[in-house]
Amino acid sequence: MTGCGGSLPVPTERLMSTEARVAAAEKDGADKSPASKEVISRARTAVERAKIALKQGKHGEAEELLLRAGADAELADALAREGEVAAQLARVKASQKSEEEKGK
Amino acid sequence: MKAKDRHLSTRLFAVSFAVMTAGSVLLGVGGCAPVMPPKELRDARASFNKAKVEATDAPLELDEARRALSAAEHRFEEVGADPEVAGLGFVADRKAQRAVALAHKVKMEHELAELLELEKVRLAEREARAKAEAEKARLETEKKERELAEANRARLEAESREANALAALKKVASGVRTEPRGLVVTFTGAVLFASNGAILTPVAKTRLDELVTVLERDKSKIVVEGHTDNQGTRAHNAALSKSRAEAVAAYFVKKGIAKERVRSEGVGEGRPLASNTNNDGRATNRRVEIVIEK
Repeated sequence: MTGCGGSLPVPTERLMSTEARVAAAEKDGADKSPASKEVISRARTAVERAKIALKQGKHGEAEELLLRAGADAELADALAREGEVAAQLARVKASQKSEEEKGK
Repeated sequence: MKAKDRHLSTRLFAVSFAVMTAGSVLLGVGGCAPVMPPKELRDARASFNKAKVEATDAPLELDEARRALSAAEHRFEEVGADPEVAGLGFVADRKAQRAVALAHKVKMEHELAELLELEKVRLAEREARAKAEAEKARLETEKKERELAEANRARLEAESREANALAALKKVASGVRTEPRGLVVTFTGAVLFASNGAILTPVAKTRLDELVTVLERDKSKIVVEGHTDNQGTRAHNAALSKSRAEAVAAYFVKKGIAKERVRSEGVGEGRPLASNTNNDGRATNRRVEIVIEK
């Protein structure tokens, strides 16, 4: 796939959409939860590597890196949202347990 | 898988298929020896198997993962292990993981909603209890205030009655004094009885009538005590004082005072108020005392 890069068009749109997915995941708190932090970090690295590949004219390699970065960004977003709800649930449970203990 | 991703896959598939088919022919790979799927595809299969169990609450994402895995499998069946299969496998793996994460999120959101609803109910119950307790406390306070006001009113009325009674008694009696045993109203013997007798005089009845109007106002016990000076024998004085006390007590009962409220006692010369050595002192000692007990 990478070997054919030079003949493929510059994936400008894919780069933009991948960066948008990364930004969306960051906005949803992907850097806050341990599970999503590692994934979003990997996505960012892949985007940077894709940019370098683009500068070197390796469009196919860039395309593949961006595809993976996009998938990671979406996963990070999902993990971040899962983590946020999990934290909220834990807070409510702790609060209710505390209230129950007060009531005893 | 998004439209652009599918487009890319199709395009890459066309390019790679030609390369891999040529490679397979040259190297003798196609159909001769089993090809190990790339790690990404193996991971995707495992993640999807997990998602099938855990991601039922995220059906759209699960379906997306299924289609992504299918694309990777299809590519693998067509050309064996190649970079594109790895890429498609990677994407399928992430989509399966994403489906699991979002399904977990949905489950937790349901649990959270139930807990918050429960909390809402509990809060409403707590508020209702607090309101009921506050209302109970308010009613109790009001009751206490009413009781206090009633007690104050009763005390003021009693004080007023006592003051009025005292004023009234002072008008009809020779003396009125307060002792531990009660209010003591004194009538000199000369006012109530003829000398050495126990028959009430008309003047005595008038005075006692006025006293009866005072005594009728409450339920206090009444003790009528007869007292004499020391003239004559002690026995005579005792009998005389007793007769006089009984005469007054009988008059009270006759005028409507309840019999059980009234008691009479002949004290004789035993408790003089003044000296018996002169007329004034002896006159003071000859008396009837009406004790209105507390």
